[in-house]
This record gives sequence, C-alpha cells and structure tokens, in this order.
Amino acid sequence: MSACDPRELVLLAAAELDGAARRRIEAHVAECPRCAAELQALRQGLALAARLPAPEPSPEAIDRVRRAALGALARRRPARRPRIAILRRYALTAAAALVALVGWSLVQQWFAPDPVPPGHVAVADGRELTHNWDRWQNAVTDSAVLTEELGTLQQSDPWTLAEIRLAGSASQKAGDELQEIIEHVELIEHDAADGS
Amino acid sequence: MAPRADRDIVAQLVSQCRRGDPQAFEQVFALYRGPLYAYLARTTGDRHEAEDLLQDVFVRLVENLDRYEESGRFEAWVFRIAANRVRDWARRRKHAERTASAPPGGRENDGDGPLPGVLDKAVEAPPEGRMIAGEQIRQLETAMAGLEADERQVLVLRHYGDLSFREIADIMGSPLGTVLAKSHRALLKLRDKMDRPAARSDP
Repeated sequence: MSACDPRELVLLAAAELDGAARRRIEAHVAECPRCAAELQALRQGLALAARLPAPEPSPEAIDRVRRAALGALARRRPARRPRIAILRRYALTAAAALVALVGWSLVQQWFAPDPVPPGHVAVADGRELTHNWDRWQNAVTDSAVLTEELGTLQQSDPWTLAEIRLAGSASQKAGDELQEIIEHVELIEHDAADGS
Repeated sequence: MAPRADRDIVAQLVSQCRRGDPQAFEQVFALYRGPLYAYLARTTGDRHEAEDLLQDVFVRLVENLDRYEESGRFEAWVFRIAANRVRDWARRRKHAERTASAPPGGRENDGDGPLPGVLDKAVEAPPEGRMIAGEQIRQLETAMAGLEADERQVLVLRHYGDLSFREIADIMGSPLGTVLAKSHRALLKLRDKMDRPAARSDP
C-alpha cells in the first residue's frame, strides 16, 4: 500500500515506471478511487498534449538554416587528437630509439677489438658538440619526448659517432645538420687520436 | 514528435558529422529540424523568432558536436541546446521589456520559472495558424498557451522532443519531483480546459 503521490501518478500515466515501483503504485490505485480518477485524468491530459500539431518552418527558413549549419560544418576543425595519444605515439618512437642506442653501445663494448680509443669525445669538446647538438635536435627530431630522452642521455654520457648515427637513423630525418655534426665529431676524434 | 531514431544509426551519423560529412548532417537536419522548430515555435509563440533560434540551435549543434557524450541520448542533448537558446532569448526579451519601461498588457510573468513568460504571445498569435485543422485543435492550442510558462515547457519538451520526465528535469536543471509536480498541474489544467470549452465560448 502506498500513500497518494501525484508525482508517481504522473510517471505511471506516462508509462515511465518499471518493475516493483509500477506494481506498487498500481496496487495503490486499485484500492484508492481518488488516485484512480486522477490517473485517468492525467492520461487524458497526456493524450490531449499528444494531439498538439507541430508547426513547420517555412521552406525559406529551412534553406537558410541548412546553409548556415553547413557553413558551420565546413568551418569545423577536425577534433584534436587526444594529447595522451600523441604522447603514446612519440613515446614508442623514443623507446625504440633508446633501446637501439643502448643495444648498439653494448654491442660495441662487447665486441670492440681494441679498447683504445673508446670513441668518446672529450668533455671540453662535448660542450662544442652540445652547441651544435641543439641545431641537430631541431633538424632531425619532431618529438619533444624523443628530444628530451636523447638530451638526458647526452648529458649523462658523451656521444659516440655510432650513437649519433643511430639516433639520426631512428629519427629518420637525418639531414645536412646530422652530416655536419658527424663530420665535426670525426674531426674531434681524429685530433684526439693524433694527440694521444 | 521527435522520431525515436535508432541509437546506433544516430551514433554513426554523429560520428560522420564530426568528420565534417555534409550528407550525414543532412540526415540529422531532416530528423530534428521539425521537432526542434515545433518546440521553439510553441515556446516563443513567434514563428520568426523560432526560425532565428532554429538556426542558432543547429549552428551550435554543429560547433559543439565534440562535446556530446554518447552516454546520453542525442535527442536530449539537442533539446538541451534548444532549451538553453530559449532561456537566453527569454532573458533578453524580459530585459528589453524592462528597459523599455512599457510592459505589454496581459498576464504578468512570474519570472521564477526557468523560462519565464515565453509563451504569452502564443495566445495572441498562435504560430502557423494555417496548420490548425479544426476548432478543437484551436482550443487545444489556446489551452496550452494559457498554461504557466514552465508547465508548458515540460509538456512541449515531452511531446516534441519525445523526452522522458527525467531527461526533461535534467534539461531544465530542476529536480525530478518539481518537474513531475508541474506536469501534474499542467495535465489536469489541460484536461479541465478542454472538458468545458463550449461553456466559455457560448454567449
């Protein structure tokens, strides 16, 4: 048994009650003549509202609205790719490049027949390399993540030629700047070998 | 009344529209322009205002497609845009009336409802009078136009938008109980007015 609740009667009249709630209200209505009469009146009201005609816009208005909306559609820019998806894409590239770099370094260390010269540039020359490296980074990388990761690696350990070549290859954008920096490092290494 | 379009089809159309597909938009336009216009015409009581608002609604619909979340029905989202446009229009109109310091005659708007007084003109100038089929329909339109603005709002959203009371409450930003109470009053008034129209029209 439920108390008389006009709001629930509206939901029942509009068939927007399901399951236990509907059965509960129906049981109440079956025993309450007042609510039964009210439910019938509400259903008649809904039936009347449903007969209200739908006015139509004029053909000129339809055409005008359509053209305005199509104009807005044409101006729509494609939804921006979610930032996380961009990061994921570049993170994969960066990870692949790092794996290749580390792997290649290990291979060099394991199979290098002669430990001297090690192929590392001197710390002082590393500053020069860093100076040019900025240009190289801009030229051969298009990923902020990759740049950051490579930059961190560079600071922790001077670069070998092989590493630079590999990084350039991984980025697939090796250009004149890469060639320039490679030649520069070759010169440094050559001078170091002559001096040793 | 808005057609109950298949949810999967609507989702596909929305997806195509987001990519700028004009043919998909044409289908969305064909589905919703009628119900939206009917809702706007009934709430403003002015076909020209309704046409301007219809354009505004569709342009905003296109511009904000990325904001639509598929968890809710597209129809409810579309009619929310329309209801917001009507709310803004009603505010502008009320402000203009105040600044003109010459309020029009007739019933004073209470100003408390979400859409105060937007239907008052419908009594004087029912939209699309040529569409009225007969005396009973004319009486029905007059009875609807005579309801309080927010009572009418509930009934026309339900009728033209095919929306549930829960969706209407969400659109109006009102508790479900409040919307049901308004609907209860509106439906009984409508039935009473249509029950004895002859007595009033006789001399």
